[in-house]
Amino acid sequence: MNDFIVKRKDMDDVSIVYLKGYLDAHTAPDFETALQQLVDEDRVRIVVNLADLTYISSAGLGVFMGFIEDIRGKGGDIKLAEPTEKVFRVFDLLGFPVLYEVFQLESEAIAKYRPS
Amino acid sequence: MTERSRNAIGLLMPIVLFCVVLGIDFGLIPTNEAVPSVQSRIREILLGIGLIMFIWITSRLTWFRERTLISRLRFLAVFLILLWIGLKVAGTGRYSRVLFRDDVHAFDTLPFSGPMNVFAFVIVVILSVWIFITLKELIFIQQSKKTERNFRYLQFFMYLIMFSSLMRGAIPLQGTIQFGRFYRASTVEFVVIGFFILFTLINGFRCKWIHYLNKQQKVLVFFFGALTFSFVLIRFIGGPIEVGRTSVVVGSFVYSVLSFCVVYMAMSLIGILFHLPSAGLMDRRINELRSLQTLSSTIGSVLNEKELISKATELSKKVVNADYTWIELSNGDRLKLAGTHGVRKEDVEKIPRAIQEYIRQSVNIHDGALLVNDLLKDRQTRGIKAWKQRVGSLLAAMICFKDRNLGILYAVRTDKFGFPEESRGLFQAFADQVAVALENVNLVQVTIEQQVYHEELRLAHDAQMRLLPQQMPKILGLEIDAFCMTANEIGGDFYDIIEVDENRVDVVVGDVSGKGASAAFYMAELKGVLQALAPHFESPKKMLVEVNTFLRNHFESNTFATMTYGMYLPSKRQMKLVRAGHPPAGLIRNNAVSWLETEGLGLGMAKNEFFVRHLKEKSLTLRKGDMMLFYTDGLIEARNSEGAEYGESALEEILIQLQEMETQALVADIRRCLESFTENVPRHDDVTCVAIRISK
Repeated sequence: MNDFIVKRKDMDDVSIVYLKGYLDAHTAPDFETALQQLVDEDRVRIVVNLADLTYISSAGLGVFMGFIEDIRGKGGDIKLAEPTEKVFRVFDLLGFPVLYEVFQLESEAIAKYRPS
Repeated sequence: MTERSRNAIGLLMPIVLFCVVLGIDFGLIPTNEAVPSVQSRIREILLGIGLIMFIWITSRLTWFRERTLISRLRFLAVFLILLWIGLKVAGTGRYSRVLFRDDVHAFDTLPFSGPMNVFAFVIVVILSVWIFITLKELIFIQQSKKTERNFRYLQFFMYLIMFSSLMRGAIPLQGTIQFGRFYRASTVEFVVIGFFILFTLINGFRCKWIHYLNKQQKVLVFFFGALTFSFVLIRFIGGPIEVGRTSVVVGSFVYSVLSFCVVYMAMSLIGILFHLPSAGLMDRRINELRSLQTLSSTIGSVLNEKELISKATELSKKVVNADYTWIELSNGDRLKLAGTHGVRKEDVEKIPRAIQEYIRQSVNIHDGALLVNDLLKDRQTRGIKAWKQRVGSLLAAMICFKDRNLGILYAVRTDKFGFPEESRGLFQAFADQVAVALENVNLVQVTIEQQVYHEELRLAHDAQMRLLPQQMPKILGLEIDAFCMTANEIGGDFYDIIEVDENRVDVVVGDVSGKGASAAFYMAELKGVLQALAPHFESPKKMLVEVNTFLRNHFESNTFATMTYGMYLPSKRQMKLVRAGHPPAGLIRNNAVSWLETEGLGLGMAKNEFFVRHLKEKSLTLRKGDMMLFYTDGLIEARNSEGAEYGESALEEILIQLQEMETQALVADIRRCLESFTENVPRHDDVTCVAIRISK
């Protein structure tokens, strides 16, 4: 139940991070490592796919906040895609949608990085 | 019949019978002088019965059974010497000539003639019986199934010899065996004597007690045994048993006991002789085993490393009989000298580095302990000459626990070839025990550290709980109650009731992101900030903007806090409310719960201009009977064993059900409902809940 998996897929200059399972204080470091790696590789156009994320705690939310300024400073962004209703509720209560763009579909998020 | 009365009768009967015989002999009891052989037979029968009873009762005495081996052997020697003297005394005086007649009708016995004679007889009989019983006890040491049977047979044939001597009127054994005497035994007698000799030999092999003696004892027993043996042997071949003059039955018993004793002693002495060369080795083995045993039991008792090291070096010195020992323990990836015995630490450190390294390397690849027989000759260790200590041979064993190298144990003897080959295995076995002991010590250390850690956490928990309001303010027309349960000892949830003045009371429930100690520290800081800022602001929105600034400046970028802040003005029954990313507060009024979900970001997440823009303040006018609930997400996200969440709707249901209750009972009930929902599933988040009610 407490399993948490981070997967990453690179599409051109956009990296998609897939979160699966339970993101809390114990599993947050995994997610942190993944984001840090992207920043180190200078891949700062990031989409986090939340389709399989069942739970996110404040420590998990903190990971986004720990990186966002750095990433935005480098001209990139973190966009959120496909959150479940429950996870979106947590984001919403906290006011995340004001700070982060949230999309129903991953493709929409990716498209957002492309010059139209 | 009780044990005591049986013993009494068993002792009394032989005395009575003996007295009757004395009566006959001294003419106090009238007998038919005309038939001397009948009179003699009756006399012999009485003595025989008395003797057998005495043997029986003696064998039952616990005094004989509860002796140690050494004291048995000592008693045996003393009895034999006394017997030798007794036989000498019994033989002095009156009987200068013995009649040996091949005559079935006549007895070559003489009556008791005086007190000295009687005394000697009694002593000889008692000693013979005691010797017999002592031999029996020796034979029965470590008895097997056949031991008892074989001894019964021996006893049986002994009694048969006594019986045949009664029939014959002479001692058959003496006549048959003794050189130079003429005695024609019948076929039956030969068979009986033959069996007696056979069982004497069979029982003679039963000398397992030799194993229980150590080397020194073996030497002593052999020396004194041989001495006693020669006395007995001289007596045995040196002449007839004088007691036989007064009674053939008793005489033949004494004679059989002596013959058996001679055979048994001879066998035992030969046995000891065979064991002597290996006695030292046996002793050493036993010592080795004992040292190992001592260490094993030390394992359970020594719980500090220092003491264990000193015990390990001390015992390893004993176990392989070394001159000095030392132990190295690994400290990270380096080996460090931890303790010595029989040599100074600074001296061991002076061993040339190259040799130290060589030994360490060799120990690593060796199976079992490394043995260097001659350190000064061995090509690799020759350099040890430079070391000031006397060295000859060396043993070194790895201290390994589950493939983890904990260290190396060394033992040195000053003579070359000082350690036998087999001590390698022993030394390794010892090192393994040391490894287990060390591991135990480490485990205990870890456990103690954990206990200290838990204790500190408990103190932290108490301290944090004291940061929460210790008692609810008494405000006219307002009931307030709350609870806070942490998931770990300490956490990031908090609530506070700030009485700014009589016209205002602030209610705040908050949650600092993250878990455990870091969240707890930030929570404490945040509480202080709120307490400090509250009197200076009249709008919760303006105040939280200030808090946001503070958090942005002082918290880590990945740490934020959520909060619902309410300022209540009792005079106007006005509640000014802001929600900063926190689960919305609930207003319970008229059987319905409305969640006051105003816009607002978590604190510390965004810059002030952004934060201000998205923070909405809401003002409510409360009525009598209204209830408000502030809580943290831990309440609705609590899970049961099936992983289901408690949920907002369950909370809503309870609130409607309990809306009439006083707040104290209400929060208690919410807590109870939550606990019965989660049962024994550990909390993964803190749960905080504050309820207020307008009672007037």
